[in-house]
Amino acid sequence: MIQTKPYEFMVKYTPQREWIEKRGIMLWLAFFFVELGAGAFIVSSVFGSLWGMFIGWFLCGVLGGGFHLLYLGHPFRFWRIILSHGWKTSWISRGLIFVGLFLILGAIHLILVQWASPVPGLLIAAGVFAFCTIVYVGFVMNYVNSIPLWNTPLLPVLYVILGIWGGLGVTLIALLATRDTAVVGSVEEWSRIFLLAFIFIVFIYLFSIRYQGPTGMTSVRQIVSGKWSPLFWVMVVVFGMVLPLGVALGSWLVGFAIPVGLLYLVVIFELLSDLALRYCILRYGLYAPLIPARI
Amino acid sequence: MKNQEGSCYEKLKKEREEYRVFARGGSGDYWAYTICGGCFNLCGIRVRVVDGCPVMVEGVPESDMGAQGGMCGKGVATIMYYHDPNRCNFPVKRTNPKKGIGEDPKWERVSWEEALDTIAEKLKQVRRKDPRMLVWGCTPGPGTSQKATLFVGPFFVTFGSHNRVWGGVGTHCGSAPHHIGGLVHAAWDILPDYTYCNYVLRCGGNEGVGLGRMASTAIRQCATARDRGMRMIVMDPIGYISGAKGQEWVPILPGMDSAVFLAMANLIVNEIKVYDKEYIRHKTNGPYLVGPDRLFMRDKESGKPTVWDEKDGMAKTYDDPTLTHPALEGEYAVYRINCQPAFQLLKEHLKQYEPGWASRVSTVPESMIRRFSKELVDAAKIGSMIEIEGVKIPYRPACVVGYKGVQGHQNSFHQYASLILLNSLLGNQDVAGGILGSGTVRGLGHPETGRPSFAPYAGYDGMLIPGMWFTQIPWPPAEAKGPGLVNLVDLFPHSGRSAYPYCDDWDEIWTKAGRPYEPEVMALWGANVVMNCANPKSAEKFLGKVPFTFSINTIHNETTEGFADIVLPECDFFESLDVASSIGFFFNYPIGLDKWSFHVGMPVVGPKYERRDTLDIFFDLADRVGIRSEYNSFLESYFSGKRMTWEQADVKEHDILKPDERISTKEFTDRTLKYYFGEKRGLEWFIENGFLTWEKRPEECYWRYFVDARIPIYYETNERDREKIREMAEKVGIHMDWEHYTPLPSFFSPVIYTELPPDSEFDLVAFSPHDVLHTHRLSAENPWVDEMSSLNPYVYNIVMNGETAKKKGIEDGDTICVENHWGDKVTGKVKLTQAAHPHVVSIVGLGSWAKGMPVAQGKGVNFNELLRADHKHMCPILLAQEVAVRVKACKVEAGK
Amino acid sequence: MRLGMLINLVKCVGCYACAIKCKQEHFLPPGIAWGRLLISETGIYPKVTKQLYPVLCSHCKEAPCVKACPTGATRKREDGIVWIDQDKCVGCRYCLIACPYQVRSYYSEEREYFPHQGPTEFEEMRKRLYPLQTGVVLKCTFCLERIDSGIKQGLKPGVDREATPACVIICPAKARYFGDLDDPGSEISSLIMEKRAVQLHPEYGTDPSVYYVIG
Repeated sequence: MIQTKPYEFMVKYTPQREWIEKRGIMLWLAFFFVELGAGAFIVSSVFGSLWGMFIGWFLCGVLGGGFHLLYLGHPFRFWRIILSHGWKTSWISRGLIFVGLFLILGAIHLILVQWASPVPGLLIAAGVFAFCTIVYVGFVMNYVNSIPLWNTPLLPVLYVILGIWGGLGVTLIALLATRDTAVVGSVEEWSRIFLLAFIFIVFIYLFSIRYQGPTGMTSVRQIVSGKWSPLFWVMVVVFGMVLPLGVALGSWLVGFAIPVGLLYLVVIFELLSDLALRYCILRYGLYAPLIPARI
Repeated sequence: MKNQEGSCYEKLKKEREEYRVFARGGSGDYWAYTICGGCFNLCGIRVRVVDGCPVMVEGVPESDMGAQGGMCGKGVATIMYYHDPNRCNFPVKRTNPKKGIGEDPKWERVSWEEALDTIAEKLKQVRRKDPRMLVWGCTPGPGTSQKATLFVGPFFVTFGSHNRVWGGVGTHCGSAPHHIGGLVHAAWDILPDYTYCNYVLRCGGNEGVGLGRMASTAIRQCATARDRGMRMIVMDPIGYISGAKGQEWVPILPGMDSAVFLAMANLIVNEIKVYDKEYIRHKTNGPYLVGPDRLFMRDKESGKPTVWDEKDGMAKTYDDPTLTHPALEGEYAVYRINCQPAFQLLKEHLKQYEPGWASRVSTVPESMIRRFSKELVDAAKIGSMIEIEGVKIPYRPACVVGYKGVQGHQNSFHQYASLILLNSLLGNQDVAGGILGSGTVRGLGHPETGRPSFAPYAGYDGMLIPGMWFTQIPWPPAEAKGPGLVNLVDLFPHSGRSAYPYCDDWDEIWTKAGRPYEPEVMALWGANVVMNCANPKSAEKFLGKVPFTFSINTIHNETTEGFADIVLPECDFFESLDVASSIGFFFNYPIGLDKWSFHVGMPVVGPKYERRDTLDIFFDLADRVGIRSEYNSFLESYFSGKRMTWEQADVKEHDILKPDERISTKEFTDRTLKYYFGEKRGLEWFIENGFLTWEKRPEECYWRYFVDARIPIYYETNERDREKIREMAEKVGIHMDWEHYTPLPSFFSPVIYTELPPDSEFDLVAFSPHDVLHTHRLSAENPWVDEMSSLNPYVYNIVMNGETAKKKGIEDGDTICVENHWGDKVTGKVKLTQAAHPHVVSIVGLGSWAKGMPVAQGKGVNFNELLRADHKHMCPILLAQEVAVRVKACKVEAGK
Repeated sequence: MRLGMLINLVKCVGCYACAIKCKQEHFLPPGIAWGRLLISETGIYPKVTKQLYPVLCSHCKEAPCVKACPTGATRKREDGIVWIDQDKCVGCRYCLIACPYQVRSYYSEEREYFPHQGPTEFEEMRKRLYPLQTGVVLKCTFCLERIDSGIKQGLKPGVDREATPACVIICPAKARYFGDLDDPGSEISSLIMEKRAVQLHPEYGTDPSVYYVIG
């Protein structure tokens, strides 16, 4: 049903390739780290974890930014993205501006906090751009109106939830690692709320795409029952939904405190699930056939 | 040019000097004209050269030889042939004495001197013993069709050998179309007159849809006709090539077209009863009286066939000046013997071919057979006239056309004869809107010089004889004798081309014939015999035994690597000076009222390395072997128009070259052009201007009623020759269905349906269609063609009907094995389609393995490995090969 | 002026002349094709229709690729041609993803037409006559170099060969037309009306400049 041979290009449903194959795989990681980092920064700033904010900044700026540059064909021309007028229409241009401003303002804030005194409002400004950073990836993909799997308002919502949820996980690890346990419980609670939001949005998203036409239906079918469906069912559902839910329910029902090691594991599973879901969305972004054909 | 010494080096240097003018000094950015070499159709082109590097090819807008500026894809791709780093650049000799398919020849470079000396010595030895010991084959491509028959073939003919074994085209190429086309149209092939045609029934041929006769000229004309509303019905086992461009695709079993044609003829003659009686009366041998022995009743004095003049109530010879109204029906007594006009016999003969029967054997619905018959007759407007440029021409805007798919079967002759019969009944042959001999066979010459001029004429029995032809003229068939030729064409004189000796039974036949001689030298010009002649193993049986083989190539292939002892590097068409490709008007010149467009093959760049041009090589060899004067005489006879066939005129006046002249290709070309077009239009003029056009006159392209000659609907020579051929053939072990030698177009089921029971497990018929991108084995070596082929579902895959595949548990993309009933197998990926008859498997013939063609290696499937060549799988009249085969298909499990 | 193209699918025979000529005209490397021929079929035996669609950049009036480009490398000219400034392209391939007709190609690395045998003279000529950068996105340009140089010589795109895209002039079936869509008197505008030519997937809101006669 989907294109597997060169002569089926645009005759059958054709998956996008450039953002998942060969060097495109870098973009999968770039999007992940950028959103995860920004989410971690926001959550850590709310819960007052400086280490969390720093880790978030590092994930976004160094890893996310690094993978972005590794992906580009001409990375040393990236400054054109900022200095051109692309921001008027291009979400990538806007995204780089958001990321840039977030990193700069975030870095200044972190330096001031560590070695001087923070400037009021700077953190808020950094936080706003961090939020924009989480949002922009969803809109980059949403803009592509010929890939029904991406062309839905639910996608930016999904990515915001993923970003914050991932950020909660990173913040949790940062707090545990630095034995700053005062707000761990609170972070855990919010993490569970966002877990529920994640489960809800994933299923709403996949269901609604099915009704976007045959291309959307095919995309969803490939995700849930195609060749790579174990990736979805094991990594996204089991690791990202069933296990964390089980742990949370178990803890709530039985009332025991979750061991730290288990918490680490749950966060890692959640992050892997995030990665897997992003992979599925990128890999199965299908274009409709361009010309009439018996599919 | 190290290691070069002696006269050959000097010649090479001189040739390079002469070609320098074409390369314009080898620098700069210029456009130069020449002729395309993508296939055998030779459209005019212009090439952009930048600093000695050809970079672009386009058509010529001002010329009608092609698409008026456009070109087909494979033509555009030809630049990559020139740039292929695997090209032959130096003469080489084989150092591995072992010959066989897949052998590594271990080429060693040698000098031209050594190579030509060796070859000449072998040729001289053979000539002393028996010139027939030289067996030769050639190719019509790339870009070389007329060189094959006008430069290469004649060398061997003047040497004394008619042992031509083709090879490049495959041994079934045009067996029936060229032969019957020659008899009926004085042309190599046929095409609809697209300018005026309104209805075409196209069968088993793809010209006008990307390939085949006239390539881009036909594409242009056919596309315009379809766009203005010309209706095209395509009757073909597959519907994804020409079937895709017709308004209707009608699936049919391969080789069963004659059933449909004969049923249609029956309906037209006996039910609808509307056909062009006057055409049959005056332009065919329909009125010739036939006696009980099925031979013509001949005038006792003159020996000419007689007809019955209805007006005077008496028998007369067909060319009696007082004859006015020859009878088509009735029974008459001549010399007290009851005779009937041939047409009467045909009419009765057709009654047995009922549409219901035809539908059962062919799978074409009876309703369609009836509908097409009516539609053809209605569309043909029999009796109407049209005025074109002040000339009144009969107007018959409907026709039936077909080519390889119709005639590539064991019933080849009758398949094509019955197709032609339909056109004869409509009276549409070589008139406006009807079916035209491809090219234009009647030329009154350039207005200023009246040259070159040629026209068909009436010959033996008043029958049409071509004014120019590539080989021996097809009419009248010579007397059967021998066999003394390895191709057995002397034993089967109606045949122009034969699969022998690349057949499994050749050795046995030759032994029974007393082994008159053993072939000692094989000469090949480009011909990739191993790939193109049925089964490679059959070719290997013969080639492996010939002691010495030399080949002239632009690139190595399976044949040179497996069997050649010496290979000479040749210029390709970007580097070649070739006036042979300029003539052959009956072959590929624009049909209908498209202008005469005379292009010359001219080098756009000078030859590189030690490549030499074709005619220069043959001039050199002719000098060394001592046949230069005979060779010159042939060229003089043909190119000056004295006798434009392989039968040589007795040349007394020399207009172009004398027997003892040692001129170069450049000088020969210049003289020929000046002879045709005047002193001012020699080679210099053509280098500057590229080509010459002049208007065609209606009486040239629609010549039928301007030439007083007749064509056969009754093939008397079949009857005449049957017994003698049968007797001689059976003596050497050839047992065929001699009933094929019947004078009336008849239905014979091809061997693919008779050699196995209907419920055999080999329930599919495999065949090889002609794909738009591939016209020679060389084409898969072209990286652009290869790239596009991989983007086309039908080229590299085995194609079969989806429902049939489902029943066999085969899914799209599976690897399948296709096996014939002799145990030969091919494997490949399958492409399922709805556009294929349920009982066919379609495989484009590719599957190269030559090291010299690395891009082509392993691409596609070698269909020919499924074929077997022997007398049981040939047309008894034409020796046309059966190129379809019964197979079964099954999925190959992974790991097996 | 808005330059556009019409492709008559009744006339098209699928000979690949346009696709190969485009590769030749622009010295495109292996694997990159700016013009493609898409082949499919519809229907059930024996009522089958083979679909033959030559596709190329549609130079859309509302081009999503232009809006998507973050550096301004992809731009739209006044005559409607959407082109790529290779020097500005960073190779993010957002335009490639955003194009609903998938007609863009990413030139990732140099490859030879005859693998392991070095570049041919033709491929070397690319560096002089039509240099292409790796790491950028490439696509059909309506042969703007032909159009621009033709206009300078006073020639008319769509009328004079030297000022008309290569795929149009090479088509042996004369299935392709080129001209000014904004001129109601142009041949292409008349043909669009007369033959009721359609655009591919107008629901994407792109208003492409390439029309098809389906027949």
